[in-house]
Parts: sequence; C-alpha cells; structure tokens
Amino acid sequence: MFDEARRRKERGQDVVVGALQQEVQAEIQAILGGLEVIPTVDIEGVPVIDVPAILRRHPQVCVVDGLAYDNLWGRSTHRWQDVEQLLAHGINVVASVNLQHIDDQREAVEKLTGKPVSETIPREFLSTADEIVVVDAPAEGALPELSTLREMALVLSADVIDAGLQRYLQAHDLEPAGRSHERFLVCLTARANADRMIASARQSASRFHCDVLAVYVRPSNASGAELKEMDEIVANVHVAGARLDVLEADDPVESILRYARSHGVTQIFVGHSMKNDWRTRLWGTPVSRLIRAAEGMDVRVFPH
Amino acid sequence: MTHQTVGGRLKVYLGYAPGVGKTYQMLDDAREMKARGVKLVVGLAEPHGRSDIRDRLEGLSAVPLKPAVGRAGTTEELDVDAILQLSPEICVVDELAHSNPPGSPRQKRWQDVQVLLQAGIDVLTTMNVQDLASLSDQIWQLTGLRVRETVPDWVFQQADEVVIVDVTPRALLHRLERGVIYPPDRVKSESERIFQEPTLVALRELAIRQTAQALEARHAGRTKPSESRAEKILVNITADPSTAMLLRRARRVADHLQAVCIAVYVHSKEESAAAHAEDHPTVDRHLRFAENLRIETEVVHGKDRAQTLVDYARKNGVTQLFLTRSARSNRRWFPGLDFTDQVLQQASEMEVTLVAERSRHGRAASPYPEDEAGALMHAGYVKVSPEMTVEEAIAEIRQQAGQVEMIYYAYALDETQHLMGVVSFRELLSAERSRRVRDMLHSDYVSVLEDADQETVAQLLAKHRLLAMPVLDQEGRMLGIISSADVAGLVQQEAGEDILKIGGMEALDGPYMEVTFGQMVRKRAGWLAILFVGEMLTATAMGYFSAEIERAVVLALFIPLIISSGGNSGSQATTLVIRAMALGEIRLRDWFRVIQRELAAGLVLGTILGVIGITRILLWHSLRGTYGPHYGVVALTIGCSLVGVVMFGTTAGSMLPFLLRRCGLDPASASAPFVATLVDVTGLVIYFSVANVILRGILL
Repeated sequence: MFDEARRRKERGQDVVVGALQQEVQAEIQAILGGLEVIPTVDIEGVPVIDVPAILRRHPQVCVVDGLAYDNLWGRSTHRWQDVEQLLAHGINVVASVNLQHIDDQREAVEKLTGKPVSETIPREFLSTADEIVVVDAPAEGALPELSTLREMALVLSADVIDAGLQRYLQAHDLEPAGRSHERFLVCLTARANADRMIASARQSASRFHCDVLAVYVRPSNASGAELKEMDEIVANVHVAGARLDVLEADDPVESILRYARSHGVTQIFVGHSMKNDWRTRLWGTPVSRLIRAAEGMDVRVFPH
Repeated sequence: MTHQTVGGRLKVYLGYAPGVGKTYQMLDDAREMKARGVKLVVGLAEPHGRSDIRDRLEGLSAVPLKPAVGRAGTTEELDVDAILQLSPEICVVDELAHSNPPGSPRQKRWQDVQVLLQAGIDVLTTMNVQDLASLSDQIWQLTGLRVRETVPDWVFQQADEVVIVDVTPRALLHRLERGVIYPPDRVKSESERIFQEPTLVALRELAIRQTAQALEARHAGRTKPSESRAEKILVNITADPSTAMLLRRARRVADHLQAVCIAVYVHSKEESAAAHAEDHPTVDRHLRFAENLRIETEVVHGKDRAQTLVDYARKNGVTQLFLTRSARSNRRWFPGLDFTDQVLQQASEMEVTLVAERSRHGRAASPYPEDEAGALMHAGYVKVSPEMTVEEAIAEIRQQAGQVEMIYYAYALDETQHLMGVVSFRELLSAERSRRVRDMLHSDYVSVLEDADQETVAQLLAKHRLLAMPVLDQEGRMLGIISSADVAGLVQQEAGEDILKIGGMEALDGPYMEVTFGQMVRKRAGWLAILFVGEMLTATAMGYFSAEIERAVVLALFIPLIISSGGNSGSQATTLVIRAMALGEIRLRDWFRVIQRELAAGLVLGTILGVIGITRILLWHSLRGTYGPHYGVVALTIGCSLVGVVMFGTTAGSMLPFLLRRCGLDPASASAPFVATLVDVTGLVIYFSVANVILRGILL
C-alpha cells in the first residue's frame, strides 16, 4: 500500500498519510520519508484519525493503514466511518484491512485461528470500494489454516470485484457479456423435495463460492393444504439462509425464466415432474418446457 | 484430484491479462531463491522488449535457448535436454501455454515442463486464467476471443502452489497506455478485445476465483480425502458438436465438487451401419477430447439409447447425469418425448443436469457453432517448416504421424502460425531429397475461414477435388484442417434432410425402422393436415364454377388431368431449383434468369402436354364419339389450359424457393406438395377462365 502511495506521489498526486500502525517496519519507514504524515490524535490511548486536520489540508489521496480500528471517543465510533467522511468530502482513500476484520468473515476466521477479533467493518462498506487489491503471498509449506485464510481473502476480493463490475455495468447501461461467477436458483413447488434441493444447492454454492436464490411458484389455484405445506418449506428455507421470493403466476415456467434472466442465474434447480399422462406425452412436462426455454442456463433436475 | 505424482514441484504465477506482472514477480522470487543459495536456472523468460524484466534477469544463470529444428534460427525454444543435464533444483519457464513450433520434440511447452518435473526439477511458470482449457467457453462469452493455446486443467491442478499476480484493471490500462505491455509497433488486435475495463474486471474476478478454487481443492485433498458423499458425474457423449462444451463444463463442475467424472458414448445396436460410420469420426474425436481432459471414457452398446445410458449410470453408482439440451427439440411440430425427456423419465432417482450452450450477445454459442467450418475441423495435421529439406520434412511427417489424424498434405507454417503453402505427400515423396520445401510449396491453396458454413466447405472440397483443406482464422493463422471424409457424412445428412422436406415431411430423428410408430405418425400428420386444408380450396374453387360444370359436364372429365399436370410441373421445378440452390449453382440474384427459363420451359412443356391431350381427345372422339358435337373446341380448351397451367406451375414452383430464401427460411421446406396444392387451386381457375373465353356461346 505504501508502495502505491509512493508511486502516486511520484506521478504528481497530492498524497498524505492519515493513519499508521503502531509499529512501522523499516521498509515502510524508508517510504514514509518522502510522504507527508498527518498524525493520528491519541484519545485515551487509542489513535484516532485527525479528520478536521485532513479536511483542512484536503489532499487528493489519504492513506489509512488499519481500517478496522475502533475510536473510543471521536467524531465517529469507528475508523471506517471517519473514512466515509473523508470520501464524502471528495478525498480518495487508500486503506488496508485484514480478512478477520470483515464482519461476515470474523466468525470463520476466529474458528480457524482461535483468536478473538473485536473490531470489524461492515461487508457493505467494503463492497462500495472502487478498487480492491489482494495482497497475496503463498504460504509456502505452511499451515493449512493459512491457506484457508488466503482462500477466503481471495473469494472475498472476487465478490467485491463482482459488486464493482455490476455497478459499472449498471452505470454504463451495459449488458454483461458473460458470467464470471455462478448463481443458482432453486425452484420450489409443493411437491418438490425442497430439503434435498436446498442442501445440494448450498453444497454446490459453497464449492463454487456463489449465491443461491430460491423461488416458490404459487399456482393461482393452490389448495389450502398445498399452501400450508409450502409455508413449512418457506420457513425451512429461511432457516437455511437462502433468499426466497414468491412468484404468483399461472404459467410457472414463464415466470421462473423471467426471474432467472433478470437475476443473472446460471443454473436452475427444479424437481422432477412425476406426471406421465397423455398430455405430458404429447406436449412435454413443465420441466421439459423449462429445459427447452432456458437458454444459456443449465437446468438440474432433482428426483423426488 | 489425484494425479500421478511427479518429482518436481510446480509453482504457477497466474494472471488475468498480459502485462499484470507475472514474469516480473516470478523473476523477483527467483532472485530471492537464488540469493538463498538455491541452484536455480532460467530455462526461458520472455522479456517482451521490456527493460525492467531484463534487469530482473541480470545475475540469474540462463540456459541458452535452442533454435527450432530445421529453421533459419528465428525462433528459439526451451532446451529441455540442456536443463536436464544441468539438473538444477529450480527452473524458470515462462508462458506455460505456449505451443512449440513444428519439429519440436513436444508440441506444447507444458509437456516440456512435465519432463522437467518428472526429472525432479521444481518449475516456476506463468499463465493467464484464459489459458485454462475448461474455461474456454466462458472466456469466449466474456471476451469474444477463442483462445488457441491452452493448458489442460489437470496440469494447472498439479501445481503445488498458485500465486495470483494481481493489479487493478485501471492500473493495467494505465500501463498499456504508457506502452509498457506491448511495444507501440505491435498490432493490437487482441488487446483491443480484452483491454476494456469491464472485460478486464471480469477476467480478474475469474482469475481470483480460480486461485481460490485451486487452494481449496488442494487442502480438501489433503485433509478430507472422501469424507463427503462421493459425487459421480456421467457425461453423455454424442456426435453433436456441443459435446465438447458439455465435457468442459462437466470437468469444471467435477473439479469444484471434487467429484469423479466419466463419459459414455452409447452405441445403439439398431442404428444403421451407415449412420454410425458417419458419426464415427466425430464421436471418436469427442472421446479423445474427454481423455485429454482426464475424463475416463467408455463405449456401451444397447438397443435404446436413453435406457442404456440410465442403466449404465445406475450400475456405476452415478449421482449426476450431464446432457446437452437436444438442439432439435425447438424446431419440432409437437414437443413430444425426445431423448432428454426419456432420460428424465427413466433416471427418476438421479440428478440430471441439462447444460445449455453459452451464447455471446445472442450469437450462436461456444467455440464453434454447429454449422461453421470450425466445428468439423481437426487440429491434428502435419506441420512442416518451409526451410526444411524434403528429407527433413519426410522425417518430420514420420514423427508426427502418430499424433495427427489424417495425412494427405503437409502444411508449411511460419513462426506466427501463418500458412505459407501446402505440399502433398505424393509430391514430397517423389521429390529430390535435398530440395527445399519452400521451393515446392503451392501458395495458391484453397482455404476456408473458421466461420465459413459447412455447405461452403463441402462445395469447395468437391469443386477442387481436394482430400483436405486448411481452416484459417481472420488473420490467416492456421487452425486446423477439414477432410473430405468429414464432410462426406455431412453432405449426405443434409441431402437426406432436404429430400424429406421436399416430400412434405420433417426429417425423422433417427433411422426409419427405429422411429416409433407414434413419432412417425406425428411427424407426418402435421404436413398432411395442412396440405389437406389447402386442398380444400379446390372444392371452394369448383363450387365457384359449379354453373359452368353443370352446363358443360364434359369439362369436369378433364379436371384431374389439368390440375395434376400443373402440380407435377410445379413439383418438378421446385425440386430442380432447390437442388441447384443446395449445390450453389444458382443464387438469389439469379431469380430473373430462372423465371425467364421457367416461363419458356413452361410454354414448351405445356405445348407438348397440350398436343398430347388434343391428340388423345381427337383420337378418342373419332373412335367412340364420347365428347359430343363440340369436341374440337373442347380439345382446344384443354390444350390452351394445359399451356397456361404448366407455365404457371413451373414459374410458381421455381419461384417459391427463392421467396422462402429471401424471407430467410430454408427453401427445402418449400415442399413439393405445397407447390402442388397451390397450383391445383390456381389450375382450376385458369382452366375455367380459358373455358369461359373459348366456350362462351358454344357450350356455356
């Protein structure tokens, strides 16, 4: 990060350092020689970014080492909120953060390392980053835990990059040319084996590191019993943590496809259609209609 | 995945575009290792004319490159033997996906690297995420680029370490602008495609995910060998071109799920020998492709394809079946039950995944759309260098013979894979041994672009009586060959389809005896019903002329004669025109010449029929006196009507295919019965109009 700060400075940008870690390595010390530092204010032993001083100075770029600090007392309670303030005033911020300080990663990291983490920043804040850089170093012959942490950091960065890509495409009114990651859609009906489908989707999703969406298509003429059964499934889905939308439609195939297309789905999970009468023989089952119409998406059919 | 363990350790520096700094970082690490006292050599590192990389190379011991065999010394390649002799601990080899020029001991650099690893040497190497074979569909979708030089996934997975070399796309674009990545004079056709922000962002995301997956696969393999439910994926191999995409997709899914992946081709016993022979080379190619992806293959025999496939899956404990959607199902009259439905019905206890082709901006999908030349292409052909002597070239052919599929011609390529010319084996074998290949090359070779349609390819091969033809990309680089054997099946298949359509039917999906009775009836009933409804118009027309018929019943006797002559002449013209179109003899713009010819032909043919008709009436009348007192005028009416009806028939019949092609439809669906129906109705109108003119005041 400090290397980048140095390069920006060399290219003529106005760079200041807004926060440093307590112990500064010799290498960084050398770079710091060429940079202006606005020191943090010490409040009850906690270093807090001197926001007013930086705003007065109003540089182009402010470097913040250690984004996840909590301010005991200050303008905001967390350092990332200070950073938000700088951003709001048009100052670019380059900041560093460790994986365990991202709120939705903390638990998993704690489990791996056994060390409790108290200070976190919200994932949503990280996702608004214009750019994210993984500082990756292979853990040569090291502990498997380290390699897992590295993997988590990579997946997190990929997700942030993807969020940025979606913003970019939206802002420029572009259609994505293709999918750089997977997204699964589980279609539930009263008869579908919802547990197995959700479990399988979640397992695949964890391997592909991707999201799972779920829809329940409520036929417009659903019976009371069907609705009740469905409510149970819906409750289970919520327990499993997937997002569930209810589609109300006469033609389930059409509404599922519309939903899938608008949500950038790459694979649709559906239950096997059991019906086997003359009508399905002649016209095909809803599942085979779905398969034919699902252009560009895979369809995975599950047994009952 | 567990693969054979090799001695050396492989470390891959993975990037997402040229210029992210893979080589730089690799050399940086190499310097560090060297400083630690490791015995390290640089086998090959491409400075790309960049001074910062040259600086990094300073102080590292480089193994001299080896000029490629039989060459003027323009390209230099990795000298594997020299490295083996030095036997260092670590060797640096840049650009893993590189293809070696013709004449090298191994075709691909990754194969060279395998040799080093097997000798116990650790290798540091670089590649981009788009070089991964299984990603090629996704890369094509994202960038529109068809990656030529790929690395099989198992080679990448073999890596003990993967380092992502990351830089933000904006920084990369900045580097590009400053001319750091490409020297300013280099043609930037590729860079224009991928050096766009959203594309770079997507590629970067892909590279990071790929690295994460590589990490996960490795520690999953280390910590829990087969703790979770073992998934087993079965891929259904067919002759359909989408099979390649299906296999790549299955490979990817299997790698992510740490599943076993197998592929099966079901050889249906009842399939006609001819149909099998036709599919055979394609199926073989798909089986080999699967093996390249390290997917185990098997050919099973059975009566019913779907049943056999599902039985095999059940016996082998398969948890997931991978199929492509049947491409034809969209075009059918009645959806009915196709292969997919049959499998779904029978495999009711398995998960079945129907893989869709990924399209790019609505354009037809993955690497090669079904009817483009590329879909038929073989990548295995004999490459020689123009600088070789005949003797060297023959030796080269002998060496490559095991790896290439068919051998008719040798293709001379320059360093950039551009095709310089072609020479036949016959010419090589009969030439003086010391002659240079360069002097024997035919540079006026016939070639096709990768996106040429297959009909064009077939026509060109037939026209020039060639055994094989090279396929080039837009920049003239050689991609592969298409042999006449590849298209022979195709032409037959297409002709068969056309003939069925001419007959007012759609192609049955399989051999006649194998198609079920119900399917056959369904396919035929649609057409018959439409034609039947069309023919009802004849009743309407006759009703309109019922007064005339009542007054001159004799006219009714000739109705079948008149309308069938019109129908016959129309069908004849349609068939001739469709065939001429299929063979490329006539094009859309020739319609006016065709109409002139057909009018004249109609006139002559009508006159001939008219004369026969008149003769017959006169003859019969003189023998029996059947046709009443006005038989002469009746005969004239018949004669004139025949001329009119036949002329209308030939022109309408010949123009309908043009009309359909103009509307973007397949002219072969202008089935002859359709023309016949049209001409039947108009024929009646012509007949009675002529009768009205000639017979008014006499009979009417």
